[in-house]
Amino acid sequence: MVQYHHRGCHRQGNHETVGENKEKRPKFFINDHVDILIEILKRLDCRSLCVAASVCRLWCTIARNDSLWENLCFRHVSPPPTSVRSVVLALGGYKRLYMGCVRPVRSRLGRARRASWARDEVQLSLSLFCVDYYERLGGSNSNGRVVGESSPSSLMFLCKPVNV
Amino acid sequence: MASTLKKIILKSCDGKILEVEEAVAVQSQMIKNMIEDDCANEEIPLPDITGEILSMIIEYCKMHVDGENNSNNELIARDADFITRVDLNTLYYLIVAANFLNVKSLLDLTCQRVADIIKGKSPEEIRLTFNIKNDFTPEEEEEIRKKNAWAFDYKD
Repeated sequence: MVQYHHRGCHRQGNHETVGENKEKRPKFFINDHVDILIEILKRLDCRSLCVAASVCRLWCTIARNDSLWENLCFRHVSPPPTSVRSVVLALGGYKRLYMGCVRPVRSRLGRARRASWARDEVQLSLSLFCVDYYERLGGSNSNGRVVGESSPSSLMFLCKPVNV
Repeated sequence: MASTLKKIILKSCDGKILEVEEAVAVQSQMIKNMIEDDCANEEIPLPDITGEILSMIIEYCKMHVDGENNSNNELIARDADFITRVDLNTLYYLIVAANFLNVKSLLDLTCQRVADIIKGKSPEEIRLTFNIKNDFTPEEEEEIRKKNAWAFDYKD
């Protein structure tokens, strides 16, 4: 349950048809209730969420919120594995986990994906995330700087077809 | 708890009185809690919900109570029929009311509907639909777009 922000109700009259009320009721502004906006953006897919980040500053801030990305990572897993949260945050957060591991794993599995694999997918993504972190760590040590957004080489197999 | 034929009386902010069967009213977690605490014997005033929105919410709850024995697909089809009849402004007031009354399935349905409206639109189209002002500087916007460039590439 999200918190409810009080907002006055200024409607006059009571009409049965929806169309007639347009002028009588104050027009809503989606950015007025941040809690509700979060509830809405939480239900976007990853691509739409990234596009939504370019709408305005408020949407950009919300789209960066890791809890939305946590939701994206584990939307298909019930119940979502909350016990891994501290580990994921320590290794770089849910957005990185989603973009670097969950999304490529899902697109590689493609149509072969089955609902019963949800738990295994989580385990696989988390394992890959550890590899990702390890390589980022190595990259920052050897070059003396943080590698940043670039993907570690070990995970490239997720993006390119591999001959086995 | 009292028998399911007991009526709950709800009063909207514009003074409309609606009598609702308890089985329908308890779809709202808020009202359910009030009944359990024995606070629902008199009319319940709902200061931020208009009669029109309240009627729609009751229609939705009634549909779910009546459809309890129906298949899941049938309920999904009815939900879709209910939600596509609603314009964006009304949809938003439904969200606010569903949130206040704590009708989780309706909050899910309405928020998902707005999310579906956002999906597939460009930032400019989203701003137009929701009347949002672009408050980025051109440099900031460019940077954010660059960061999420893949999302704008529809071949991906």
